[in-house]
Amino acid sequence: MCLSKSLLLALSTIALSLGLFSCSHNVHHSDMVYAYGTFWEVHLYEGKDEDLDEICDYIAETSRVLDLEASSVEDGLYALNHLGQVNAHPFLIDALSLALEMEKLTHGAFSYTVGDLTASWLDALGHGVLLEEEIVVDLLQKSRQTSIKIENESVIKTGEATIDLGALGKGLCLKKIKAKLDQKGFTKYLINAGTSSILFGENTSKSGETRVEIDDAPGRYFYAKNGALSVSSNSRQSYIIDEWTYSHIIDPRDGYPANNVDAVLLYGDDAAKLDALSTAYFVLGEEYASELEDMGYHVAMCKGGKVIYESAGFLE
Amino acid sequence: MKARGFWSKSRIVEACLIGTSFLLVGAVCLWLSLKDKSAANTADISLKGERLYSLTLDHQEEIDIPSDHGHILVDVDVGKIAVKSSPCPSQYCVHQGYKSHEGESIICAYEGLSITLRSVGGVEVIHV
Ligand SMILES: [Zn+2]
Repeated sequence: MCLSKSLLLALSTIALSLGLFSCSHNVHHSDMVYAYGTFWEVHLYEGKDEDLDEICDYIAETSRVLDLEASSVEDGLYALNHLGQVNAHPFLIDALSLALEMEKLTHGAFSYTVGDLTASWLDALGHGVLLEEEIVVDLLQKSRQTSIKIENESVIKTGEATIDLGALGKGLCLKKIKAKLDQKGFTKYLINAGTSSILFGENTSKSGETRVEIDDAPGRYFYAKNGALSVSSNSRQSYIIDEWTYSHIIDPRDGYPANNVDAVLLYGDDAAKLDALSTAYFVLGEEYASELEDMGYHVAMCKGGKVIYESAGFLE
Repeated sequence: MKARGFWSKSRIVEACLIGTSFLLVGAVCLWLSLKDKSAANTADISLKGERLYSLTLDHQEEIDIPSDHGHILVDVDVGKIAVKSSPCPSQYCVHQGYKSHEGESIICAYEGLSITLRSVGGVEVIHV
């Protein structure tokens, strides 16, 4: 071995050791963002502050695109609902395409046109009363008569009901963020969209796993790593009237609050689909749960503080 | 002859170079680990081997812990913790002052108190 070769070896030893050392050094960037009607927690265990900023900015931007009140966003959902036609933001196109796909896939249990009906129900339940049947029938009819058509960047809406993408916006945003993180080669992160949708990379523990404890079934938990979780649960929002619990999720098939289960947890790799599916299968209930497993997801359904359906090997 | 062949001039230089580089790396690592000792964000307080508290060092608080010979007062602050007063005769625990780095600890052998500091790496548990 000549001198220059051994010099090279020595230098690479130094470089490698320093590299290993800096890798083992803990980095933790975290921030909170208010978006999609909830607080998001963003944790990055690698990268720079700029990477964190980029993610937080993306969350805020896409949230405004789907915001039903953001009148200043010209290519967003507000514009579509109020003008009936819009040259849509790419994120809106993606969200609407996913909504159409989910509508077909879920026996009518997922709908992007029940926003008005849901809002009316929540208003009534908040005042301790049920929504009058007349109103339910009217809003359900409007919901069914409303549809969208996507042509390249242009979206056209027909019908009177409001298009609401609240049931899949957070999930779609997480899916897009996952793609950004993959592109950067990042694997260590956690993004929690108000606990109803969570994107898990690895944390800094040896196993990289995060323990997820299920409030709807005390004592039950699972370990998450490199996956997405979506939770639809009455414990987030529900109303008790005459000792009867009413969910905040409305069944688009009959227009009344869904009451099959108290919570649905879905774990898998596609955050966007999981978000829409957890809402739809909250409506559908235990009877349909095995369909989710056929799609390749881990599922748990809870009722009365217990797990009533779970995929084999999912929960501890 | 064999040994001389093995320890030829270039081999010796090589060995010296590699040896030096390992030493250098070791020194740099040692320096970095001493200089950049991670700040602790959590303190575990135990009395006679029993864990009483696991505290996040993100607020100010004074904790009163009843012990065999009276009361121990622990002062919790942002990023640091100290024993403020103790009924022990040596007062060694009180004299240690504030601790703020991961791996550090304060012990009061007389009362059986131990405070250990650690740094929790990211989110470990989530409730959904
Ligand atoms: Zn003492």
